[in-house]
Amino acid sequence: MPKEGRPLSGFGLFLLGSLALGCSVLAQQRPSFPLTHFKLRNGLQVILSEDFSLPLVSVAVAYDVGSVYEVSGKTGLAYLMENLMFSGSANVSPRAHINYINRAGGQFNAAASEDMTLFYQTVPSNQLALVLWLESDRMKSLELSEAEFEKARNDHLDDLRQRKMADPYLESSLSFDQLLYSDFAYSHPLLGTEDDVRNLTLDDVKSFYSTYYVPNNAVLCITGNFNKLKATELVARYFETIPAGKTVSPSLEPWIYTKKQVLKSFENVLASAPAFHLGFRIGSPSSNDFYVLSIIDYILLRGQSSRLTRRLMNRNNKIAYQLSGGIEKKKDRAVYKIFGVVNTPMMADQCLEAIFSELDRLKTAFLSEDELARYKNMFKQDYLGRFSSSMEKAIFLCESYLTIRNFDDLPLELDRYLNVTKNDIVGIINRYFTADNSIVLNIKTK
Amino acid sequence: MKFQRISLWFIILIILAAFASGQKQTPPEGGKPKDFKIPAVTTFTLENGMGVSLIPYGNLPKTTVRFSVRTGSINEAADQVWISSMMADFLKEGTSTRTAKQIAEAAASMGGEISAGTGNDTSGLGGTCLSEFAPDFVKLLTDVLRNPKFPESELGRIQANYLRQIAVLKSQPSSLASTGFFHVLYGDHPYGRVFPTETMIKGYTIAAIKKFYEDNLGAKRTHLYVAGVFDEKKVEQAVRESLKDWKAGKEIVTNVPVPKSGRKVYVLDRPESVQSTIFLGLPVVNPSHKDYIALEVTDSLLGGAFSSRITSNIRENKGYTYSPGSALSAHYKDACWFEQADVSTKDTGATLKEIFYEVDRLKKEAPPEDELKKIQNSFAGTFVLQNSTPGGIIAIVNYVRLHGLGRDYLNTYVQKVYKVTPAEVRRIAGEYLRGQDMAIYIVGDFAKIKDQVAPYGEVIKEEIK
Repeated sequence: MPKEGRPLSGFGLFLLGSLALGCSVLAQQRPSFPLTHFKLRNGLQVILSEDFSLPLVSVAVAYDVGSVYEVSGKTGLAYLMENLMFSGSANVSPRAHINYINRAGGQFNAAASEDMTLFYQTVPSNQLALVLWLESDRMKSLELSEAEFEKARNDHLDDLRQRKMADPYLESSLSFDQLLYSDFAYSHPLLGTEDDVRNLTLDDVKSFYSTYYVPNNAVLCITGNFNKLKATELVARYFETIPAGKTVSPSLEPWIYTKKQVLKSFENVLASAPAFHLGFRIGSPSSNDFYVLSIIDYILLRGQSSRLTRRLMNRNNKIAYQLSGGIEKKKDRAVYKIFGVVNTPMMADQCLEAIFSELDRLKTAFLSEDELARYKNMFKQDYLGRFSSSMEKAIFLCESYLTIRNFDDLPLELDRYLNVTKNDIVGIINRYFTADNSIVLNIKTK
Repeated sequence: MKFQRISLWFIILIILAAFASGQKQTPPEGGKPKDFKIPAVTTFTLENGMGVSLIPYGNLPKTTVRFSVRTGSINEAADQVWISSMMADFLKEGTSTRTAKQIAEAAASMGGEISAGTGNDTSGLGGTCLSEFAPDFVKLLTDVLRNPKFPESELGRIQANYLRQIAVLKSQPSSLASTGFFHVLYGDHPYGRVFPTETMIKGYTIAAIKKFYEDNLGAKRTHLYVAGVFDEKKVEQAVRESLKDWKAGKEIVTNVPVPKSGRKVYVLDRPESVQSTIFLGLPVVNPSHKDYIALEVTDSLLGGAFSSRITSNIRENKGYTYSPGSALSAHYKDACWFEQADVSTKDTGATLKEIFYEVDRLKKEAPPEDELKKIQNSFAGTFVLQNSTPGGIIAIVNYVRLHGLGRDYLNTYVQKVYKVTPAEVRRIAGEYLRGQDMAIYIVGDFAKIKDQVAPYGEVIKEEIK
């Protein structure tokens, strides 16, 4: 039987009644959810959170591995591995996983990032055992045949080529990442390079799987309609016999960077319009700075009424005709990115000037309480959206666990975002959003 | 002797294979599914005829508010294609008391964003806000719905957006094929109209858009849905206060089409195209017909589900295409069934052959019990998933209202799905999915595919309109 860890049952999560204008009855209606967290003897972290409102259950398995673990010459391995997890295991034929979930009327997906590889599915609650059986089978006994490997590698190469064709700015984004992140771990492309992927071998994949796809490097999260005792029994039945792997060593040296302005240009033959990338390097995202940064993101770029959207995409004086960006959060670091497509190279300069003048304006007294409350309410609605289904919640819990390794702060998290003050905002803008911490890549067309 | 040895080896191999596969564990069986009930809906009607449904649901402090209006392309004249969606776009452009910017900011202050759009039979206006703002969000949306300003200053920009969109759609084989296919079925009825011309778009004046609004929006055609967590009393009060004196407006206009069927092959020529985009199908009974649920199950088994027959055949076995699929598309008192697939130019004829093979097979032979059972399980699960969000619930309740399916429809839906028998699937396929009546519409390289598709009907070359 699993060793019972620290049950956090029954704590009411989040949220500020005080910010709610008006209705006091509703302000008390806080979404709360139980949380149980324990570890199996083989090291698998298990998180359970029940909610009986619908006859659905979600299962997410997150492996603490991503492209940052790749070494030079072997890029693309993490992404390829994610796809190979559907290619069959001891008791499941290739792609039968997908059929099982579809036939149960469920949904599934998988995603690989720099820091994490995630598999998740939602099914009718009577099918929990099926999903746990499927996930345990591929954690225990993935079958990596030469034929399936070839097929997955070809799909991967197709994917790389298609993305390149579909996005004329892909290449410049990758080269911007190299300027922004100084180390190989984060500066190489998530999907790898064509040359590397072509040279990957079945042995590379096998050794990646046996190193990282082990219970002691994974989190299993079950959310939705299930009985806790029965679920715990099922988890033990299917996962406890999987042997632990070797301890996985941390992927990274701490990120050391010096503040300095970088200004480069890039000649892009694929794009028809000039563009610019602007980035600011930010310290560790687990620090308090991150709460403030998240609100700043809403002020600058979220929604039609955000500052930069209004300034650059103003109907009467439009200087950028595409604008996107936001926080890119990694395990031990974050960056803030802004990308804009413009009509002429001169307009790129105009955009950059406008961005810095908006940042300056935020440092003076121009942000009213009303405006700040507006951004916070937008933030709150999106934050709550991460709990809007059992699947969203399972993903959130996996990500939270892998980022901060405990749930102590979770009940207070939303409050921390909503308590950000104007002074905090000015402080963070002064610290990070400065010309001498900015990285600019100007994209010129031929 | 030699033969014997070979056959002996053959037998051993078979035994080994059987043994090996016998060693595979089978997945655990699911127990009895738990019941799923659509949450209770409180419905009332204002004096001016507007219906309101309040659907308390879930525990996340958010509220989804949505006005559904019985208007859309169904009310457009032949020279007014897409004017209904231009009207909807204009709603967010300002009211008598708020500018577009003020509308966006007010919504954002409540954690929300407003969206508006039109379809064939219904148009929608709505959004999701934080629960504590639900009554105010209803009022804001009401302002947007009742008092649009239609500022002349925005007309040029919106027209330019439409022209750009049309150009993009006309460059996409999938939108050309679906538009062409629906035109074959519905002809000049609003459901069958193709893209508006540049002259049409440029000719839409503020006066014409306003007139469309005046003619087609009003309380009698509107139903308001509020779903999620909210204070029912306060929301009802806000609804009554802000909407009780809205004009009743005109009655709903119904215009049920008489779709055409018949086996012909239409090819929209795209020389040098490496792929053919295929749409094929025919008119069928609509959601208010007693056979419709059985037809939905049949569609899923034949082509709708990932593990369906056509998909397994042309995707898994033949590898002609990556994402084929069939679907039922329902309008008010009308529906059609179609299968669509993108295939390599050289596989165009072979794909048609396999699709018709599967259609005919189902007609000749009832499907095995367990194949049907898997589809039914999948249906039951999908039904819960689709209706597990406030937005999903509003959509399904609105569907029930549009097609007049009655109170019990949702709570008996899953039972009805499970009641469908293999014999019934066969009957449904024979009665409704008649291969000889299916129109085929293909966007592809005419010269390269015309001989491949000739066996499937008279070939007609189409031009981009």
